[in-house]
Amino acid sequence: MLDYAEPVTKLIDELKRLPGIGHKSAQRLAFHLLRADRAETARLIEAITEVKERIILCSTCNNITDVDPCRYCTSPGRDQGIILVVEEPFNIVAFEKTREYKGLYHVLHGALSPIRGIGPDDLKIKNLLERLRAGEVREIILATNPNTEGEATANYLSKLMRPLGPRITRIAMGIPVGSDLEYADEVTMHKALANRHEM
Amino acid sequence: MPLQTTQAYVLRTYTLAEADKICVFLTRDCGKVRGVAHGARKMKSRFGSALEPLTEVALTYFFKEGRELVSVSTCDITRSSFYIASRSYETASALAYMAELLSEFLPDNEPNERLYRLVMAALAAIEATPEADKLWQLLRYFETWLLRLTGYFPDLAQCAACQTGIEKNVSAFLTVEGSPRCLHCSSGRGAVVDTEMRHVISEIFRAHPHEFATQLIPAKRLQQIGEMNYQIIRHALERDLRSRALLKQLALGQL
Ligand SMILES: [Zn+2]
Ligand SMILES: [Zn+2]
Repeated sequence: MLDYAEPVTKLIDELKRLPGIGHKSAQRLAFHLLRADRAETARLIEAITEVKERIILCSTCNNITDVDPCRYCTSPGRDQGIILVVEEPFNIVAFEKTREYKGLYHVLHGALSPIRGIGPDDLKIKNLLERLRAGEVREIILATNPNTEGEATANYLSKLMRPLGPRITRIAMGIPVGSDLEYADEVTMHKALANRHEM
Repeated sequence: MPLQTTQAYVLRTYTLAEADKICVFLTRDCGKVRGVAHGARKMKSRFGSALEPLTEVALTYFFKEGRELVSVSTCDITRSSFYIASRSYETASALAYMAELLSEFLPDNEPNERLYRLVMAALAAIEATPEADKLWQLLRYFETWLLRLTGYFPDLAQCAACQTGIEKNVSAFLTVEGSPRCLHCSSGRGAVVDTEMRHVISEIFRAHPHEFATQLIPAKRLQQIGEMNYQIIRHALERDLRSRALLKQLALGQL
């Protein structure tokens, strides 16, 4: 590390803080930036600054947005009676790609995880209940991750929301399309059987 | 690199870089082991749901002498706890507490066959006992036995200061370190383990978890035993368990 000039060391150290970036990757990125022309690095700096200055959380659904309420919440074409609950903002993109779903979203910003010390107070649950109490919601689709923590979160939320009256559904878990039954494990297979449908 | 094959429970996982996970296992043959599961975060991962907490797996891994992390080769489900954990948020939290306790409390690489069998028996009893209030009873069973099998549970029948016996029909007293004292040596100070608590503890050590789950034990008594156990755990770890505060709120119906 002592081999590099101090500003380079500093850049490598900052890059190393990013998720999934080890020392070697940080070094490679730092030298890429060093070689890049000024216009390229200026665009990167601007993009980072803009994200930090203009992106906020939607006060209704907690999605990341530059206008509040966000475009999903105010879109006249979307069904105001259905809310799909996800863990992270980037999960919305996966549902939008289907072009099937036309309801609203709610982002929890995490999942319940007792072992990591993440409890109900650490998630954005309060404004979900407020949305339900407003009375127009017919269905809640729980689309937290298909793992133990996502399941615990879905269980917790369904118990909490049941008295408020909406239909509560959970996305199906099962065999991924394009895979082979031979390689599915018993839990996945069990879920796939339990979630089978009439043909 | 040598290859090891053993039965194991997955205790917890941490994400590592883009695609990998660090896993903590309780293995039957080698005790607690930490390893890397390469590619475990990918959607089409060969590990599937095998790395969910408290899944029992047939594990093979490569290890190198003197290196802390082993490299997970195969990890196939023997018995999943996913169904039990998805029963309710309470059950999921109880299992998380068990996993955290094992993961934090046990030393690395020290096999403990009886402890491994305790985990098997406790999970089987929880699976067979869907009543929510029995969940806390079984957790106390698990905790108390875990402390005993790791050598932390005090011998309440004998005062550690004067070495005289403490009869079953009198209270024992625990110092901050969890060391037992008779009434005389403690002058009545320290945590009281009264005769009713002592009776429940002796039942825990006598009965199989399935049988213990059928006994009617007042919630208050179980809570006292939970407090006593946690004192010992906390003193040994010198810090709190993350899942403990949430679990306590849950048990008191505050969540
Ligand atoms: Zn919104
Ligand atoms: Zn004494």
